[in-house]
Amino acid sequence: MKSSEAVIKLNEAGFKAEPAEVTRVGYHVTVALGADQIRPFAEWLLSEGFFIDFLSAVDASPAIQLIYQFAHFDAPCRIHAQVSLPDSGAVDTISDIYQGADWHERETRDFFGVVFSGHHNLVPLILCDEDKDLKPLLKKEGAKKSLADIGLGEMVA
Amino acid sequence: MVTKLEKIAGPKHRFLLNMGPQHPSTHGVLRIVLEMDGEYAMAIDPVLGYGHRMHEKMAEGRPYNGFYPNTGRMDYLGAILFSHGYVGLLERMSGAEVPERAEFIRVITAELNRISSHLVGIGAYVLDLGAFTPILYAFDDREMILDMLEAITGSRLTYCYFRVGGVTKDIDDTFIRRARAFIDRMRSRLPMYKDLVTDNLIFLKRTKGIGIIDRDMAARYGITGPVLRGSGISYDVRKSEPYSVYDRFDFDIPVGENGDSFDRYVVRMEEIAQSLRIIEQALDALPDGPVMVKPKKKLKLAAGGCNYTVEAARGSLSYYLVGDGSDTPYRLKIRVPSYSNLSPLPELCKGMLLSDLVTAMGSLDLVIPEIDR
Amino acid sequence: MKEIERYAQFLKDESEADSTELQGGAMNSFPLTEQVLKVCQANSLWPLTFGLACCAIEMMAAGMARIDMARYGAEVFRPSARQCDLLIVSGTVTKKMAPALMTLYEQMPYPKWVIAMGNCAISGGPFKVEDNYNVIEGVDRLIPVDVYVPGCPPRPEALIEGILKLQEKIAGKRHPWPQRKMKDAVKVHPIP
Repeated sequence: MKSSEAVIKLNEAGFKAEPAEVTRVGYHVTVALGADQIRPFAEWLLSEGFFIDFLSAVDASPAIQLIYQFAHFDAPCRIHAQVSLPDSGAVDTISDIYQGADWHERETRDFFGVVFSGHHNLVPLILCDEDKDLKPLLKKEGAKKSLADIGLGEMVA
Repeated sequence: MVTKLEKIAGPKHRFLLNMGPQHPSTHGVLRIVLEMDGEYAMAIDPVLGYGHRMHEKMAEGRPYNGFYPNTGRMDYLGAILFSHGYVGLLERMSGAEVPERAEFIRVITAELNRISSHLVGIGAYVLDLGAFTPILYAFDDREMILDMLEAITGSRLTYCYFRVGGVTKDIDDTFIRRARAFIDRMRSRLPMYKDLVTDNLIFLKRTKGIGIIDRDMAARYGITGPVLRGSGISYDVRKSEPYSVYDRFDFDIPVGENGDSFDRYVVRMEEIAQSLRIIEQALDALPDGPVMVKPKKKLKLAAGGCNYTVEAARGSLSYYLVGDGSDTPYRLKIRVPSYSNLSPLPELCKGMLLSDLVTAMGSLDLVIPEIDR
Repeated sequence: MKEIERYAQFLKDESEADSTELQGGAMNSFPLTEQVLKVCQANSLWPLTFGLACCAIEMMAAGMARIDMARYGAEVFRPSARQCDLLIVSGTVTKKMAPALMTLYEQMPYPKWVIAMGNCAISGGPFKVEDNYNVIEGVDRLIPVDVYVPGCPPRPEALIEGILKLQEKIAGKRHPWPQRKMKDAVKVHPIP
């Protein structure tokens, strides 16, 4: 699927997608997602034959940003989605749609303390048991910056 | 799946088997907890984190330039390929120019590194299956590459050779002569590997039809690299999103047919031949000129997220960096290929014989400290 | 950390145990047999197949055709700690790995030796940073170390030198067994 085609189809399916300048940011499409849209988004991607590249998070104020990246085997089309973590600190899991997200979600829980509701086995993956609530990649007080300062502000849904 | 034993004895006789973290066939420090039914592995639970070295945390505490050595220590078999991704990312964000000669040298050294990585992968894989001789040959060929790279980079394994704006040291005539001699030697050795391993009846019996990965599974788990190409999908970042000067070379993407362990092995073997083709073309077309643009002492990048994907020896490698306008990264996420390639193991090996599990896992060609980062 | 307490307990137990028992038993009461035993031990070190990170690849390279550790009798890599007398800690030891490493060391029969290979095993190496939350800064906090081999990673030749040092430590002599000198240097790899 070509990236221009993907933007049109994504918008038709009700997701806020925009083409991105690939030579500058390295992905073709950006999607600003609401926390409740993650599961329909993942289902749509799987039906269109995309594979999961990675899932991670960035700690910023006011909320942790979850980053989802998908790509396609047949055409250069890398889709980059950003989700703002709701105040509850939990988002829906996609590990039953994309099984590969299972470990990525467990790792994100280890490093940031994000809870993925519905995950079948959200136990520490990387960290040892005594460090399971360490959350090493959360920013210290004073080091945390706002979304506008780190250039991710415009991608919030 | 219900095994013969289970029909007779019911599910009660199952037992837990711990494999690793010190186990020769887990390639380092992977631990797998298996629920066994006789010799059949019925539930598989990999335990990661025994080699977690905090690379992502370290990136946030040091200048952009200070992270170069770390890139070589994640996937230590393909260190140059990992540096290539990181340097490419910084160049994309800062808009730095790279001389053409430097780009060619990057391609040559990266492909040499890919060959040396595949040689270790193949040798260690066949060692897992019980054959000791091929790894001796593989390491023997690999030492030639290490000699060449050591002369220009200064280290044998954890190279720190690429910089923003070029490479640290130019290659000389000795290197070119050695590289050409290596191409000839490696081409003469490939038929030997074919006779010794690929056509070996025991090897065929052990690997054919074991651990079949299809397209659907690959998409759900995000499998990339030779493991994916063994399943007949010709996805290679060097072709699909060309970086550096890869679009100027003529090479094929070898693919397998059935997606089993044997195909993954064959794809790696054929990739060595393709890498030799790339090196040969790059050496022929090597332009003159400088290899380094004098970089700024302190690299400061603007705020914003940026992604850069390259084809590492084990699959697609992405660096995703969020800058905040200072000289240190705000967040660096490293998407490593082995992580996604290992994650299907519970589904892939369910109901397999333990010895077949070792076969399937070895064919994924894992580097555990890369997975744990 | 509870691993450090475990090490302290181990050292206490070892100091209370009969030291001749640990070092080879009653045979050691005869000076000549003791010397013969030590020469034999020094020339047949059996390392454990235990690779942790980058250094493990150089450890493998040391066992392969070019470098060939077999020349010094140390090539018999055993996958079980019960059959080994040399533990080469080749790489970074993390918090999660520490208990497993100590168990492996405790499983090895006496007499036993440890080589800390590479900067990570010596001191934490490049991972000894301010924000360190997962890397043990030096394996000698967990188990006693006999020889330190620096480098990141050390060359295979450096590991061989480490093994020679260990032989010296065991037998009191650098080459406890007279080794045949090659009269003409053989060029194994003609470099084009």
